[in-house]
Parts: sequence; C-alpha cells; structure tokens
Amino acid sequence: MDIKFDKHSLIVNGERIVLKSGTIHYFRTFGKKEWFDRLAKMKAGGYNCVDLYLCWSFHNPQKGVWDFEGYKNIAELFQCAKDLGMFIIVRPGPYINAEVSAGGLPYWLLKDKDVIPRNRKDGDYIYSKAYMDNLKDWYGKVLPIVKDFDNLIAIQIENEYSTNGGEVEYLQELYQIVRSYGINVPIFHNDAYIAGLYADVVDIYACDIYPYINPKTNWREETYSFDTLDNLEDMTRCFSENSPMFIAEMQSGWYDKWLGYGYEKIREDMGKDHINIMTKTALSQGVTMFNHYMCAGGTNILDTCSDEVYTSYDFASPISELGIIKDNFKKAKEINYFLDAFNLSQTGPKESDVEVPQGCYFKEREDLINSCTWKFIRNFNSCETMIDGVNLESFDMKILPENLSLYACKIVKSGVEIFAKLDNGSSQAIFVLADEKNSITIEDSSGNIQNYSADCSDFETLTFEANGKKTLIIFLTRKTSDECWKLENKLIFGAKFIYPDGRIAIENEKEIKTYTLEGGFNSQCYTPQTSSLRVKLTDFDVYFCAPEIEKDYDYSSWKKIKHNEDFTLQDSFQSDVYSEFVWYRGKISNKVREISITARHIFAIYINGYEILNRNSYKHDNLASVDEHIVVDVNPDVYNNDNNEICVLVQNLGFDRGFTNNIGTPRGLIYFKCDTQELIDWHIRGRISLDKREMQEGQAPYLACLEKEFEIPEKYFDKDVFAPFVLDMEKTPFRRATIFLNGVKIGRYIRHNANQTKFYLPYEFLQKNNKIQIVIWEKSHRIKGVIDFKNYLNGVIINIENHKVYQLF
Amino acid sequence: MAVVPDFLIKRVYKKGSLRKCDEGIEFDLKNVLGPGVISGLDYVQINDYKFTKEAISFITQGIELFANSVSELNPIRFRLGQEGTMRLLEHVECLKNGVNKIIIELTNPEAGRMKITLEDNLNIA
Repeated sequence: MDIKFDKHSLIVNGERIVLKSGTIHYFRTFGKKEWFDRLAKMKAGGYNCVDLYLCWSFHNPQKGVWDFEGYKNIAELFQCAKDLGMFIIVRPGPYINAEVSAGGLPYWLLKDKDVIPRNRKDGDYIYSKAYMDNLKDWYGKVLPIVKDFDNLIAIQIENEYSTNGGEVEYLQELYQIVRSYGINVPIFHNDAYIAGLYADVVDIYACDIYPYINPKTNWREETYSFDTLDNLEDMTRCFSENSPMFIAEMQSGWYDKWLGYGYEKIREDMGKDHINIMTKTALSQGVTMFNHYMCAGGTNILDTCSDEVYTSYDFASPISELGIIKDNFKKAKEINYFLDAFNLSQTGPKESDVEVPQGCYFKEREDLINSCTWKFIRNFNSCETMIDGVNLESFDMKILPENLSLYACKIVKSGVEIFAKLDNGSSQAIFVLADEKNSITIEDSSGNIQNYSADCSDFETLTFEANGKKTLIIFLTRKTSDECWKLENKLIFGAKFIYPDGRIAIENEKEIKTYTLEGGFNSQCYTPQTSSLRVKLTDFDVYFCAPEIEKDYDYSSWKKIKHNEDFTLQDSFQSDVYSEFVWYRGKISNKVREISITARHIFAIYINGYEILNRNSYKHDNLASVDEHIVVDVNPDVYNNDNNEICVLVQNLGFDRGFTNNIGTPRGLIYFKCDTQELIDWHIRGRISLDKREMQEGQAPYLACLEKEFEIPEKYFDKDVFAPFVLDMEKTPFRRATIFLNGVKIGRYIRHNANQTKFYLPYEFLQKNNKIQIVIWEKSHRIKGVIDFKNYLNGVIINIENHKVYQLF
Repeated sequence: MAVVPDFLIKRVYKKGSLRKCDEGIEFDLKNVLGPGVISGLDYVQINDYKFTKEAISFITQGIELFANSVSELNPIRFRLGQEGTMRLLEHVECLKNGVNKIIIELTNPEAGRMKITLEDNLNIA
C-alpha cells in the first residue's frame, strides 16, 4: 500500500481519504468472535480504520515469557481488520495508559532497579539503558508482526509523553527503532497538551482532545471546555503545517472509576450530542484523520486494569461493553456515511461575514474536491437558535452544503443535512434528514431555483433529471436513519445492526426494507427464532477457601519479607508476588493492643483466625490513589498465652496507570506498626486458594467460594445469533466477590464502590458446559461460625441471562 | 510530576510583566495551553516571601477575584487565550534587582495541587 500525505490528508494509493477510526482494546474484548463482531459493526457504521494499542504486559507476564496465542493473537486481530477492508493504526507503546495497570508496562520490569520507566523520574528525563533494552525486546516481538500487514496505515510511538524539559532523544530513538523494522507508514505521537510536543520528531503531528473529563461538571454548562477544539487549526498549524490535522484520540466516551458515577450517568451526560459536536467541530477545523476513543467498550479481566477502574470498561462508547449499538454510534454512523458520500479530505478555511449569535459557532470551509462550501454551525444555547437562516436545536451541530453540484441539480443552500449517497454513475440518490423547521434550496438544470420544505415524512422524494442523468433527493426521518445501514450500493432500513457480509440483525419480528438505485424499495419480513435465556443458579456448592487465615496453617514455605525499622514493608511485587490477593503471615506477641496499618487497596487483619478489621481502603483523588492510615484496637480475648499468629490479606486493584505519577506506587501491606513497636517476621504469598474441602465448625468463616456448573444451549453460540450473557449480582447479599468463569477471573464485585452489578461473560471464555466460581470475602458480624456462613450462602440466587438477543439473517 | 510539564505550564506567564504597583506587586498571565479551571489559589511566593491567600487577587475580564474566595464551588474559569493579572496586596521588600524567583501554587479539580516555578526580572518601566 502506497501511503503519502500532505497538509490536507492521507493519500492512499493515489486517493485522498478521510481516516475515520475508532479504538477497541483487544485486551478487554477477547478472541476472534468478539473482534469480528466489534470490527464488523464499526465497518458497517462507516469507520474505515481501527486503532489498536498493543499492551506489553498482556503478552509478557514474566521476563522472557511471551504469549501471543488464542485471545492474545494480535496477528489474527490484524487479519480480521484486513478481511473487513479496514486500515489499522497500531500503538505499541511501550507505555499506553489506557487505564491499564502500570500503563501496560510489565510488573517484572518495575522491579529492576536499573530500569527507569519511560526514561522519566519525577517528570525529569533520565535515560535508562536497561529500560531501552527491555522495550527493544517488546518492539522486537511485535513490530515484525505489524510489518506483515499492508492494512497498517500509521503507527504511534510512546503515548501522551512529556518531560519537564521536553527532551526529544527518547522519541527519536523509538522512531529509528520502528523504521529499522522496515515499517514505512507515517509515524506519529499523540500530544496530550496540544503544544506541538515532538512535532519535529514524527511524520504527522497528532493530539488528544477530551473536553469532558469530570462527570461532576456538565459540559453543556461548561462549554469553554471546547475552546481547544474550536481553535485547533490555529493552534496546531504553526507546528504541523505540512501534515494532515490528526486527532489521535477524539473523545467519544469516558471511563468510570471506583467510587465513580456509573456508566449510565456518563452515557446520559454525553448522549449523542457530544460525539456529534466533537466530530463535526473537528471537521470544521480541517481534521481529516480522527479516531474515536473509545469506539467499543470492554471488560477488565485478569489483572489488566489500573487501580482506578473497575471491571466494566464500557466507556459509554458507541458500541457498549457487551457489543450493543448505542445512540452515539448511530450519530457517528450518520457522520461517517456523510463523509463517504462527500469526501472532505481537501478543504480550506473560508472567510465569512455571517453574524454569529452568542453561544453559537460558525465556520465555513471551501471544498476543493466537491467544488462547494460546507457550513459548520453549532448551537451551545439552551434554546433553539437561528444561525445564518438555519434553525438549530439546543446543543445540535450541522454540516450543511452550499452550491453543491449534483448530477441533475445543485443544492444552493440547505438547512438539512446529508445522510448518505448512492451512486451508480448515471443516477444518484441523496438521502437527507427531514427537519420540520428547515428547508433546502435547489436549482434545477434549467436554472430554476426553488425552496423546498424539509418537513417531510420518510422516503418523500424530489426528482431531477438532466442530460440523461438523474438525482433523487430522498428524505429520511431521524428515527429511520438511526436504523438505516449502508452496504455497498444499497441502503437497509430497520436492522439493529448489519455485518459487512450482508447479514442483518433483528431483535423482534420486523419488516426490513432495502433500497437500490436499480430496484427501488423492496421489503421482507423476518421472524427471529431464538429467545432470551435466563439460567437461575441456586444450591451452590459452598466451600471454605482461605485456610491461610487459620491459626495453625503452615506458611513455612512462603517468602520472607523484611519489616523495616520504620515499620514500612517493601512492595509485594519486589518479592515476586504479582497476584491480586497477597497474604502476609507472622507471629505477634499477646501484648499488642493497637495496630496502625496502611495497605493498598482492600485488606483484613486476622489474629489466631479471628478477624480484627476488614476495610475497603480505596481512595482515589486528583488522578492518584490516596493512602489511608488506619489505627485499630485489638481485643485481648483473641490471644493465647503464647504462639500468637497474625495474618493480613490484601487485595490489590492494580498499579497506578502512570499518566501523571511515577509508575510503581507500592502495593500490598505498606506500613504496619504495633503499639509494642515490635517488628514482625513477615512471610508473603500471593493468590487465593480454591482448594475444595469440607467445612468444619471452628474454621474462620471469612472467605468462601460458591461454585456451580451451568449449561448454555448450543444455539446461543450459532454464528447467526448475537446474545451476550451477563451474571447478575444485584440480589446477592455480598459486599465483595471475585468472579471466575471456567477458571478465568472475569470480574471484581465491590458493592458501593462501583456502579456495577452485572458482569459480562465474554464469549471467549463461555462454553456449552461452564463452571462459575465466586469467591466471597464477606464481613458480617451476624455470622458467628462456618456453618452459619454456609447457611447464609445456601440461599443465594444468581441469574445468568442474555442482555439482548439478536438473530442474523 | 505535574499534570502539565514544567516547560509548558511556564508559558502561561507573560515574561517581563513582574512589576510594582500601588497595592503591592503585579504580574500577568495568559492561558495559551487550553481551557482550565482553578479551584484554589493557595499561595504565591516571590523569592523568600510567601503571600498567603488573604493577600492575593486575580483580575481577569474586568473582575477582581480574591484568592480566599476561590474554591471548587467558586472556581476561576481561565479560558484559552484569556489574560489576567495576579496582584499581591502587601508592601514587602521581597523583589530584587536581577532575576526574581516566583512560585505559584494552585489547585485544579482534576489534577489537584500544581506548582508553577518561574523566573523574571523586575520591570521598572
């Protein structure tokens, strides 16, 4: 593939293109079936590119150990995009942020004292050869795979990088490494500060734009947050005069955090208006390369995510975590189809004397390909406003043509937007969006100019003919356009989604209408046969799964960890313990009456098998987790005369993602001090034991595992059924649980800390015969013994059910 | 490190604007970075002297805001391209000829406390 570029756009095999990209995270969306589904939906929605971070830690769990198999097989992912006719943007980091633990750097790397992650410490540039040697190994594994794919259109080095001094050497070296693998596509870096960082190092300058980062504020009231986007061309042209305007991350959603607001609120806040305004404003600024971040949400499984985020990474994105098309996707589709209809890859700003009302935005661009003018108008007022003779609803934005020549007529002026175009060389159908408050002015081939009301119902048509050619202007209501899909030279109406191979998805019995220029409208009725399934799980096998808490547990094989004179402990990963759950055990004197403790992020203290404290110690503020220092009294009744044992269990929620802070904030037990000032001979080990054994009275009733097998009928795995399953924890009595599906950790449930009670069961790990295990780390003073605990758990009901069922025809 | 790297955040300071005025000392800022919110003006330090909230005001778009009234509920919205004057309302002999060190500590709702360290010569024009 021949890729060139100039100041306007990418030029691929001699043709200018607008790059319409969206991000998915393959480390949160697993395996070929989901990759195909998400990418196929994107392609059907008019995206021509998928943006892919490559996550180092996902493939390199230990030094020298690499895993690119199964759902980690990136070559299959790239091939899937290629088969769908999509370009790929690859971003191999080494640092990727993406709210993954340590920003994607492997844990073992952080342990090496010679490694200075990202050649940066406290913001200052410090070159680390050890770090560079390791990242060369990573690049050496992935770049040869990337190089083999001719649908690669651009590659990014590092991510949102900066140092206090703005040194360029590190980025220059990364650039040379990429080139040394024979990769010849444009190289870029994404500048989070829109300050021209590394513009001279890379081929194409790119930036990130996120106007909405605080769900506490309402972007409709705080519209100043769009200032940068509104001035992007002026701001960035001074340092990127010869490359296309590229927004490498253009906000199309936002992530929720522990103790956050929930995706329902974020989705409601942003709505379809946000992506509409973002994308159209970007186009008004001359952007011809954009990437919706994120385009499809995902799920944080295993130990992938940073300590900031919980299991769902829905991101309020156009395609939800479960693969469902949302309102913002429909809006993105509308814009993408318009860009397919009229190529806006070569435009220039045009001076305008239009009077712009307060709260509104108006830009004009001269289109050098379509020889017309495009007007970009936006209303940030809370009421309908008229701009340049066009009525615009509150928080709406439109792209409107002026003097656009078609086969048999010319759109002189328009208050309605173009949705899509079909064209067979002699006839063309321009689908426009009906609008009861606006009109369209058209000049026919005889020079007659007429104004037509756009207050039309579906499929009302204006027909123009001239010189053996025909132009149809066909009106669509917004509701119809939302479920309208373009497939080559055909429009399909009424489908929930389509795949580019021609399959259409419906939820209920439905008449599907299609339109072609040659055949006009046709319709066919479809009736789905697959209904929604609910599997009610009761009568769980319940077993005790934390023998480590018991008084006489043998921990002699555990690693020793030093309790320092200042009562701190080294990070658990320094002891090669990378697990989410970390046990600490040691001996304690019976004189201790008070313990001071700091641990990340959730912990419990047990003495002689009795729980002393169980604490959610998670707090995240100002982009960093905040330590909590707890002082707890110890009831002397827990002690024996001698030989007393203390056990601390800590649940780590991940490393800091390292955007603003140094990566590698300590995890596990960080500080432990007794009022006796004694130092403990701590021993450490990771993981929860899921050893199945009978419960016995006298055991510590603190952690238990619920286990149940269940079946999913074969038909839900059929290639023509799309039916994502969720596990619903809503009605359970637990405060905390970790969920395993067929041995894979697929979720963390912490009641009150996250707005999530339903957990997606990814197709990659779901089978016909399944085993679910839910490890409960429960605190309830009402439960006095292990038998009570078992009785308490016996009444649990958990449903596994379809979120939606679509059948494809 | 700060959310915005040092060398970038320094760009908001208008070089050569440090001056004496009737009320005390003034200098100018211009937001050339992007839309910002200041939810706290914690202190300004010039050389060894620290001006506390009571002695700091920020004048922008014709309005004078006193630092002790700035909070998350009453933030300063400092838009892209917007200019403002930081006024230090105390008569103290902290300025010197030659290079003066200026430290501004402020709070941003998302990023927390941010410290900007600058240097400027006294403008005696």
